Amino acid sequence: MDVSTIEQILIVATVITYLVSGSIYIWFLISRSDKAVRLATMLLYLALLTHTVALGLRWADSGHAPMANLYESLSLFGWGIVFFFLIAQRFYPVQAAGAVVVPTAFLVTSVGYVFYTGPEPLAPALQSYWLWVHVTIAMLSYGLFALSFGAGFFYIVQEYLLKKHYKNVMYTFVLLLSTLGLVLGLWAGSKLANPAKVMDPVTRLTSNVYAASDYIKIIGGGVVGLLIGMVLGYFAGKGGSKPGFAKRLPSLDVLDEVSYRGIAFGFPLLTIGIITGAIWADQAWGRWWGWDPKETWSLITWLFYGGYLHTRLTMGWRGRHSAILAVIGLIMVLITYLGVNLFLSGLHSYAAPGG
Amino acid sequence: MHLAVLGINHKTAPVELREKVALDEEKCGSLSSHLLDNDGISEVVSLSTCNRTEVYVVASRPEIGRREAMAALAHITTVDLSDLEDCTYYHEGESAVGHLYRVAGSLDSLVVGEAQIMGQIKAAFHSAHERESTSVLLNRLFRHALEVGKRVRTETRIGENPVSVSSVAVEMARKVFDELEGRTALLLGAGKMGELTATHLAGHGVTSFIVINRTFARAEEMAEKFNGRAVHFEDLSDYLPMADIVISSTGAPHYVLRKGEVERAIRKRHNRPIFFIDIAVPRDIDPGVNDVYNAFLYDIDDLNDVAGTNAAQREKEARKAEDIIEAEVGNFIHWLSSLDVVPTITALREMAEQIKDGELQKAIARFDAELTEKDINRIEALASGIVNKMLHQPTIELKRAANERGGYLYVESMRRLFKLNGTKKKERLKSEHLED
Amino acid sequence: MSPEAITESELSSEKAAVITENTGSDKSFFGKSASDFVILLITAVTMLVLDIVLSISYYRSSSAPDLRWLLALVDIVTVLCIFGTFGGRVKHMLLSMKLALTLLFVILILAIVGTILPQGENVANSTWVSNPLYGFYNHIGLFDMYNSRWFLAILYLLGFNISFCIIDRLPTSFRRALKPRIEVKDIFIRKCPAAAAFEGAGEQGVAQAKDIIKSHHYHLRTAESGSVLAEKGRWSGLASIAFHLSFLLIGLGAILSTTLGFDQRLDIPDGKAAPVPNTELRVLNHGFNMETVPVKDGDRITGYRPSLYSSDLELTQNGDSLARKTITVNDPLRYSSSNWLLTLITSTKVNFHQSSYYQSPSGGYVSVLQVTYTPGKSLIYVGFGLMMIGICSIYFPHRRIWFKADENGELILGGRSNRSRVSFQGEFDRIEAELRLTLGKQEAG
Repeated sequence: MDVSTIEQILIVATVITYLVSGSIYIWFLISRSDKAVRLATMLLYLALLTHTVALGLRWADSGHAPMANLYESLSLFGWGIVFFFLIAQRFYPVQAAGAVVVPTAFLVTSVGYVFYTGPEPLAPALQSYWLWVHVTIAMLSYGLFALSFGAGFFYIVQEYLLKKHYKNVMYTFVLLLSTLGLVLGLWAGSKLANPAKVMDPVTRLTSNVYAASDYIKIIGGGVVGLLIGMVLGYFAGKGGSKPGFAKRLPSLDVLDEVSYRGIAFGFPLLTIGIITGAIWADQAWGRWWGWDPKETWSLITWLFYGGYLHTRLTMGWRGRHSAILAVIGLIMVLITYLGVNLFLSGLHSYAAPGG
Repeated sequence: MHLAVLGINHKTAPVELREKVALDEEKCGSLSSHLLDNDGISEVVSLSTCNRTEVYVVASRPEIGRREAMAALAHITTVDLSDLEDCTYYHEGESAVGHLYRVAGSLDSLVVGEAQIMGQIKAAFHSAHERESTSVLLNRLFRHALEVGKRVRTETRIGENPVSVSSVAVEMARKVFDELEGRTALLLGAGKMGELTATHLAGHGVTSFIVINRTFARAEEMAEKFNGRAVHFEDLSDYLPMADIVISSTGAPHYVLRKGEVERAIRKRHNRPIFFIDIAVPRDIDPGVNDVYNAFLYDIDDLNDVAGTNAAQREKEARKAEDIIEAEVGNFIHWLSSLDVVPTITALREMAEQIKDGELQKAIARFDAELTEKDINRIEALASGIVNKMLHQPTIELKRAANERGGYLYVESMRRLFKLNGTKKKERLKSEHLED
Repeated sequence: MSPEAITESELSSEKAAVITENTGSDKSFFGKSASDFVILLITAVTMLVLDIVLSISYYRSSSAPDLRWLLALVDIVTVLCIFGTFGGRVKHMLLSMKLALTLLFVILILAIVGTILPQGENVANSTWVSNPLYGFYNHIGLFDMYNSRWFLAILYLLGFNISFCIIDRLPTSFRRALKPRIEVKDIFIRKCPAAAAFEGAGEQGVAQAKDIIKSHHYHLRTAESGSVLAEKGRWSGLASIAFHLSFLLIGLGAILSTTLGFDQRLDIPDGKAAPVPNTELRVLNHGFNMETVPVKDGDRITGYRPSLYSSDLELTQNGDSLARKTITVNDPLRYSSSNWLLTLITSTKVNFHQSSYYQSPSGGYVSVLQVTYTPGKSLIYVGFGLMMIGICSIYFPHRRIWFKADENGELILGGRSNRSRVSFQGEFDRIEAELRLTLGKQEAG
């Protein structure tokens, strides 16, 4: 058994453990069992350990930090999410956020595994110590933004429950989660139908790239997503009408604070990330900014989080509005990080899956 | 050696009678010394709270326990014996143990899941222990009861969700502010309910209170109580932005606080939230306030709804608690039966027989075939004789001790000295019959 | 970029009132004198004519250098002139934070659009080419958005906005950091957003307040009259200026690099030489070298891909060798020549980057170089540094608390913060509570 096989086994084990741990976190929201959260946390530590070993093996095997392609960077991103969540959980009562954060880590790592490629030497463009600096800093900021997203998301839920006096919340949950499920399902379906063809979105929609069987896959994905969303919504809503559900959620004060802190620490890191990227680009290509989609989107994300801090610090925004911004912010981050790679072409080498 | 409990509580007696039967520290003392004067009673603990008065006794015979406890209670509290008889409940043996455990688990409380009862039981037991009216049995029982109470509390969520309006209000406020330490509360109206809720808030660390009332004197009076500050009604809009929590309980027939004012206040507070509790009927605060960004409004119906859901939740948890109690009662009874004399004697004899048989066999085997049937019989008789003679006096002493105060000590010592563990359940049942 | 200079004036309220009156007077262009109006009108018309003439001449000639940056500049100045002539308050607009935020938002939206629409060469592979309106779209710069005239115009407007704000705020920021006003009027303290008063606390109260405020890590200064200023994060205002300045520097650096510098592709086959564009230099490719690694599918080798490629370059001028280096992707040849006027100021060099390679039809490799000259580079790097300093300042707002005993022996405190007012309010409340406790204790004792 060679190193990459062991690494793959470890990654699969990690992904499964994330899934189990995430499910227990969700179960914890509904059942309010302390045992559940202890178990989930323990599993999460275990998964983090296997994940760390897998990344270490990859590093040793390929001879460079695991940041060179989509699989490696996604895996590292998932690792970062879990790492920061566990730290946050030590200092803040944010166990409930695990129900969103851990499944996100699962999603990120497993999507990464889909794009698994064996260890390869670095492409010439990436052979620079800037790779390490740039990617690590960017990942750190992404992880913090993910944390901020989780807290912001639960702020919105908790605030909604408080405003509604914990009454008749099930329909809202069903509606919300089934819509989310539908969108994700359609997306997943379209991925299955036409995997990762790099093309601009307008061309993609207007040209006839899908066959009839593709449409079945897309619609099927949508239906499955819708159903899963409805079931989850039913259970979440059913739990939501119980006062205990909200009891598991931290108070608005704490959620607001965690969400803000995530961005407050993430923003300077993102800035350094962009600056190091610019310096690196200058070294490699002789231009520090080229409106490459990745660069542009990182600027958009930067402007967006800058806007968050501005509204908060100078205009005194807090609460739901800030939480909504934190949620949208992660969507921006995901577009910058994944969307650009999957939908738009650019210079960043892990643009093409497996490249 | 019978455990029994006699008591009255909120279910069996009206408050007037409960008040009369309530025992203070001194009365508890005289009750127990009165009871212990009786030879048939060896241990006493009396528990008295605002909702219940109970006397736990260990008596040599069941009827003594009931009769004496009743008489003593009537004597000490000077309540008519016939009145008492109508309103008391009585449990003995297993059922008495179960009763105490249910009390400790707060299943028998007026508010199921309330937390005070544990402290009250602890205090009652300690004072009884100090005046030396307890011994092995009640010591063990009460300590065990406290453990059971704790188990119920940690393993079920019986005490988790508040069921009273004011504690629900505090709970909800804590969902917004996390810690209430150092927060400011504004009391709008100086009503009774408002005061109760404010007391609750103060208990959770709220330090500054602003009291606003139409009649200023009343506001000042209330402000005094909470070490707060009385403010004229006209200045409400100046003080509203300072408040984190607003409790409204005026008798006004119309809305006292409207959306616009709240919007202004929240803006002035840089969007820090305000939690409004409207416990007035008719309502004081415009329901539209709940739509204001970062304002949270709960009126009395909302709080009652949450309290109702919580109460239903507690019922469910109470069922889980009953299971725990059942198991724990089983454990205690198991220990208790081990203290019974008869099974102890049986066990002692069994042990002796076993040793005798073992030794005999070994001895006979050494003689090979040299012994005749007659020899064997003779040796056997000798061994039996020794065993019987040896055990005769201890058996009698044990039986006698069983009817004495503190006789358990003998039983315990015997069991420990001879390492007599685990009585079989069958024997326990048998022994109970024998004792009766 | 922020109206703080006005809203958060340190002046006492009377003075502030005077300022508002002044700024409030020029409401419409009829309020201006007729001569002002005529001058403005003439400037505006001139700018407009200049703009039109430049545009026509630019679009007519096909070989003119890329002057879109200049056109955009003229555009935006023209628009501002016209706006000002017809009653717009240009100065006000350029000083407003609202404008900055709106522009940043517009840039954000345009940037998103720019990533969705194919840009540059990519448009050739998209369905847009067959669109009947393709010519029109292309003309307005939809497929080269980030270099289009109107996008640049927006950036210029943002640049003007930021510069105006910096100029406007600079004196105040310097004064606040270096020569803060310790002595203030009572009314100013009382009108602070966070204010407290303790009746009868007097000078003793001031001493208590000093201790308590000091324990919250404030730096204290006492005026002769006994009035005290406690502050922390004193450099926050200047750091914030640095942050805004960083935008300008980066922008200026970018303009310098595009106008004075160049960025060109140079294909040199193995062993051949080529003139370096815009210079008298020649570059000789001594040899292109490539290392490959096999691409495996399981154990089967399906192909090879490069793991390293390099070109051995020699730079010559009139036959003299100036420099020689083997360059790889992340290791360019940087050459600075004394011929370059700006070299000293900008410390910039001609850089030869190994961009890519291809196999020529005749066999042999052609090395693709990117030859760049970025005179604005040092400005950009200084901009990066200032930006980081500025961002850190976000978390250390300038908090100031003035306090003194007034003539009635009342201890008054007033505090302001230039940012995160909520948490400042919290800190102020805690200080107030501590003070109340200490003073109360003394009273009782």
